[in-house]
Amino acid sequence: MKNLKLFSVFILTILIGASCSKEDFAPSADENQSAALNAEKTLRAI
Amino acid sequence: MTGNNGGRIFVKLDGKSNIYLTPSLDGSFTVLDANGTDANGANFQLPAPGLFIDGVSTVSYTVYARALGKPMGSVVIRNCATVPGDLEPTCEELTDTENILEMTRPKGQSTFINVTKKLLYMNVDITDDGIDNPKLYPIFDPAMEGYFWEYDSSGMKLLQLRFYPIPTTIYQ
Repeated sequence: MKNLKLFSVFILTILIGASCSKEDFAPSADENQSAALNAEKTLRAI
Repeated sequence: MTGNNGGRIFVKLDGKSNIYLTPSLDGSFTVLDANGTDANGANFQLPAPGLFIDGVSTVSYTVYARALGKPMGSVVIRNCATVPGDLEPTCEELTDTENILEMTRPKGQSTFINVTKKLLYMNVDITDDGIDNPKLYPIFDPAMEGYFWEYDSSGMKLLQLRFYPIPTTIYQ
């Protein structure tokens, strides 16, 4: 049940205005996935 | 970008951008105005935390934040709102590091931190009694109006906030 709840997370990204290229600020897919997995491991441990 | 609910908000790379907050009645999160770089700021709708009752407030979710992008820059986010009858908004003190949110992007993998209290509760003194006695208010507390996050960026390019449906209790 707790895992199901985790999937309903709302993610808000606050980023700089459109004057910079996407590559300047976009995290890599690996970085995103790894951080998300770590966060969810932490939350499961709570 | 008004009405654009992409789950993202654009802010200035350097300087202050205001992200105005609107209470959600159905428990949903929505970006009402994604452009924080213009005069009227951005607008984000989120469920209101509970008012303090006997010094305890509960909120139906937990907020985690992490800085992303190239390892550079920082941001300070503090809560502001206007006391009815005042012309200017009141903001949390920049020295109140326990209640304002400061994020930096260190080298290496970024980690999430729990920012529920710092983003959803505002520690200010709104009395005129001549004594510095700040008190914690949940955002949308009727003691003030026009709540917003003052997002003061110093070169940080990307901040991610995650709103998990895990209840949190905050003590005043």
